[in-house]
Amino acid sequence: MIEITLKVNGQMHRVSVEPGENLLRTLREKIGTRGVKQSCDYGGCGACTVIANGKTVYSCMTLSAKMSDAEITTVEGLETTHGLDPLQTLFMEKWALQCGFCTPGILLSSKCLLDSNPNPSEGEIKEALAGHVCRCTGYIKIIEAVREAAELRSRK
Amino acid sequence: MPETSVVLPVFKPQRYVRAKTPEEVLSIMQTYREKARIVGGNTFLNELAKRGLLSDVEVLLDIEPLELHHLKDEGNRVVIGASTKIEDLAHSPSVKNNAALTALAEAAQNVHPVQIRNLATVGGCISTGVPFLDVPVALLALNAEVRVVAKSGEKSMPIDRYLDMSLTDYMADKFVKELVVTLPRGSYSSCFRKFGLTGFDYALVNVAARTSLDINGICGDASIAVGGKGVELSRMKEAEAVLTGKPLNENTIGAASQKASDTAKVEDDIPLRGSAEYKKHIVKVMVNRALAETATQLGVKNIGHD
Repeated sequence: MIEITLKVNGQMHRVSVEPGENLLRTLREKIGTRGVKQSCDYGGCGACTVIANGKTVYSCMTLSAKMSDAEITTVEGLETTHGLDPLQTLFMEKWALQCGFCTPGILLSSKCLLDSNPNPSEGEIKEALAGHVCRCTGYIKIIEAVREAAELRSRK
Repeated sequence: MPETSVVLPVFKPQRYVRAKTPEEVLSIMQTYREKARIVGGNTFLNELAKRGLLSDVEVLLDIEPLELHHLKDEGNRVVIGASTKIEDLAHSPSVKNNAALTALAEAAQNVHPVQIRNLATVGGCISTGVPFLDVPVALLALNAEVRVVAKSGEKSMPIDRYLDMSLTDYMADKFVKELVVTLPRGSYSSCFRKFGLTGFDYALVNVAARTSLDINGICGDASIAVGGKGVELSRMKEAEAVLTGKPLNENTIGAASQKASDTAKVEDDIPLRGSAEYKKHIVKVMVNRALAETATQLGVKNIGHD
């Protein structure tokens, strides 16, 4: 086992991981952030997406041992003392989710996009979300919600 | 009838080593051979492990502490460290803004999605033994050199030789330090084109091409590489010869594309990705598009393509 340190949603965690363990398992089973979803488990669906050091990655493809000292944001980290992130509120209002299983990953990719590109075109939104599979919404509502979140941010 | 379940061998490495020196990497690789694997971006690790293909691996070797993340523009060449992320290569101004190197940035941009570009490394994509990736095709067309670290010291080898070795063999005696792409003199343009079943898919056919044009409108140097899921990764030497010493126009480009299609080695796997005939047709179309784009970039007017 290897001792690693992870900063998850602002909180420091010291955990023991196996050499071949992936970040998905460490986050779900050892840190308890169950918003990180396991689905295809080999980088085809996007459900396990987290933000690591400011960039979106598939946690199923990331070795935990390699991530020592990384700063991780999961969907649990989007909510602040002021309440839900506007993206989360807009996803609800705009019906950008139905069953919700893929939503945590999509929210994190959307947040990462808006943080680096506050006014994305539809093409840029699609490119940023290309690594996610949603079997309920048909994607249009998701794109609309992200677009509206960008507009909301620009008005503030 | 009861379902038969297949029990695959489990991936359970015992050690994770953060190698601090190149000597440490080589010494572990020589001791453990196939049982030690360097982890780059580890984007293939979980998939291979799940298929039971990594059950013999005992040691994972992390080369992150060697700090091979550099992407240096040295004027007449670009040096790309093995641990450089595909996302950084895709957006590097030295690569994407230089017409002779654009193909490399375009190939990196065509690796989807961003979650994988943020993890996968340049060294990893030429060393995993996976023959249908996008970046290696571009490196092949740009005549990249691979600088490896071996016990006897550092040495350089042409990318085609390195790919031949990494696709057929496990290399316990060397590992990639960096790639060097030298800028040719003269007026050059390069281009990458990919055809997959979806924008997200691995390439069925991917093509990288680079051509030069002198002041008399003659192509002095042409380089074409093809690869993909159904196509053997290689340079199309005979197709290149069709263009060398000739003007770039619809006829010469058409003839070179036809030659590439005739000489490309394709697999005939109809249930998965299509017949040999289909793939040869796609090779012709994609080579044509890539060459037409380089010619247009070089100022040749009225070049159409299929």
